[in-house]
Amino acid sequence: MGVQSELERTLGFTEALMIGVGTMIGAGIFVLPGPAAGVAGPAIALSFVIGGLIALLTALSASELATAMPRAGGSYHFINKGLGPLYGSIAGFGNWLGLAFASAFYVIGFGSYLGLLVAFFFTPPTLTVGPLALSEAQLGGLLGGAIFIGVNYLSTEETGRIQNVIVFGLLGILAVFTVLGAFSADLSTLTPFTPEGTGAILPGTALVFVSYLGFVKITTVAGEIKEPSRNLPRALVGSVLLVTVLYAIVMIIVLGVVDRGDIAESETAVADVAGILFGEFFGSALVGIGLLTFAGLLATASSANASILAASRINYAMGRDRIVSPKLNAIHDKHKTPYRAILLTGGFILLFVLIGDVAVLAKAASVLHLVVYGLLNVTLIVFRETEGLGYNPPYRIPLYPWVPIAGALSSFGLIAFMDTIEILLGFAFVAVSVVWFVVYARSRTVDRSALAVHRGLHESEDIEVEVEPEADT
Amino acid sequence: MSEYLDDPTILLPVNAADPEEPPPAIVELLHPHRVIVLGYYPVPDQASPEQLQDEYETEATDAIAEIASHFDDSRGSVESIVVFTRDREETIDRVAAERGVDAVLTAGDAGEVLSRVLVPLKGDVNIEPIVAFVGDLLRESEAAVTLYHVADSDEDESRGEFLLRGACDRLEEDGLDPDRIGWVQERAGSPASAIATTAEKFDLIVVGESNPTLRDRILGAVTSQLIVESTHPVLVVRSDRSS
Repeated sequence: MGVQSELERTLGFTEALMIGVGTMIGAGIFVLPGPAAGVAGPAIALSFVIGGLIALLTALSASELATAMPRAGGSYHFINKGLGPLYGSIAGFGNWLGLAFASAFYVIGFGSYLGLLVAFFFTPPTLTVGPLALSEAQLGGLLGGAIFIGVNYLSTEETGRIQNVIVFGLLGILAVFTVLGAFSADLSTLTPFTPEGTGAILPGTALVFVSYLGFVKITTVAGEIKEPSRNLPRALVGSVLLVTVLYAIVMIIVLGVVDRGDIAESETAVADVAGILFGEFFGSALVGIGLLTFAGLLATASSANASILAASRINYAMGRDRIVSPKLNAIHDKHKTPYRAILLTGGFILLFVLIGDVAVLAKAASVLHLVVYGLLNVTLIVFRETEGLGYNPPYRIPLYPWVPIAGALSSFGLIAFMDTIEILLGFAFVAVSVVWFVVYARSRTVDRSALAVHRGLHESEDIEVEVEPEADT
Repeated sequence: MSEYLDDPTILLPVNAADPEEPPPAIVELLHPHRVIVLGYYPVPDQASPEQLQDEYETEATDAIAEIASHFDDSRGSVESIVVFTRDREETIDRVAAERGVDAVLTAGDAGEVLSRVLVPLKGDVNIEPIVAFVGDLLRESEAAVTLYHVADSDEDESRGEFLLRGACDRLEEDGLDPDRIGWVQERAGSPASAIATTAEKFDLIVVGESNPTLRDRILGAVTSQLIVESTHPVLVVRSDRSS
């Protein structure tokens, strides 16, 4: 007897939205306010808004592509289908390692908050391992990173519900913070608004863009979302809008309460500010610091964890298309986890933690993601123009072709505002991806992309149409 | 009376990652009826359901087909399906609603035979479909059925007796031998623990799906508590069977 198998779509709109918000919130608010304020002063709020707009354009393009192809793998999958395995390799490695960089950044943030927590009890000694002098944050990051990797190796179930609770909890804590801050904020510390000049605003955006990487996480689980044609666009766009507003408000509050010079070196600025606020209103700075330290630990942990989960789906999609060996995606017999992919991603994360500089990690993650975002927008244009592979998305973005054109230009353009080292790092990874494609993937993959079909490299009747009609639940 | 009551459909959820053969007594009980074997394959957060489907589809569908074959007869009254899911409850609910399932079986340790069936009734759930289902289920078996009510006041006690007597009459009308039908009423403060204690003396429990009332939401539904605590198989009769 023939038994059919099905896939259950278990994520509703709220779960999908919370995946995006939960992944993003860890970075933007809990790690970056200090260094970001150092770069652009109060005008950093504008940097966040600009970053949000760039992310919004790509989120729109991603919405259309994700509703057309609601399968695991997200951006990588769309780009590989649209532009073929060369760009697929660049996008796959870019997205994967971009997530590893982002995770390293989040776990260092986690380490900073852990350091703050430990400092409640005693002064930790500095530790020197061989030639490497590791900071407290790095040590905490290595510890946190190792724990997250271990937990994911062993498998977890239904953390989605915990994630919802965490994100709502964080939003609640931030609401209290914002209200107290609004009463205490002093407009005089907000002037001059652009102490470094308006020229510092875009470099500010380049630094904080890491705060917007999380929305693409939603597309990596596109295959698990109920009614994707309705929920995907709403979750993608909604999560970007929500965090953009939140970031801008919190930055204004933070810089309204303290002078930017006081927090520029701090990776736990909101906890510092909460200490001042709670001291002023309730006479207890410790409660404020404790509350925001707790929130910071949760937020950075959930961001790091979400990135590890997203990376394993990208590995799976790359293996499915033979860009990497499918052996990478072997499932653990007992735990049912893609343990090799998780260990490899985990190895990269711990390695990147040794770099140690949050600004470099944040921007390296952003450069790699921006390359992917640019390609994603180009992919949308290719699908629309060629109507390849039976492309017929249930959701179509407004203002085509202006949205993807602006999305591609702004994504690629923002890379120019990074520092040389991150740009070089980013392009080194792109170069390695291209070499990988030539040496390994080219002989193993067949270019059946929309672009290849359009250029007549294949007879279109040979093409297996993999763009699925939506499975309504 | 609609048709499904004459030929009830029972959903049998089986963990497709770790399939266990249903006990022979369960096979015997369900065999005359329409059975849907639902193999649910739990997916951890770390993998996408597609990935586990790629890896385990054949293994899972073979195992479920093997289990389904026990219920197979010439009438083709068994159906089976494998679902890769992150949420077992959600999958059971969806499949049950889509396929007009009358009752869901949660497997426990069934004895050699299923000779004693307990049917706890409450005033606030839809008694009629539960009793009709029991009548259909047991028509072709030899099992004895005990209808059961826990009262918490004098008023409740007389109302409960009325319900129980009516239900017994109904089963008789449905063609069950009166010797096989009995009822028991008890007086206790906590229906849930009274039911759980009584249930230990029976082989199979048939309960209605409780609509979550405010109290249920706070204290946990009697039904779900029963399923968690009971070591015996429990058949949960669904209340929204119209879909």
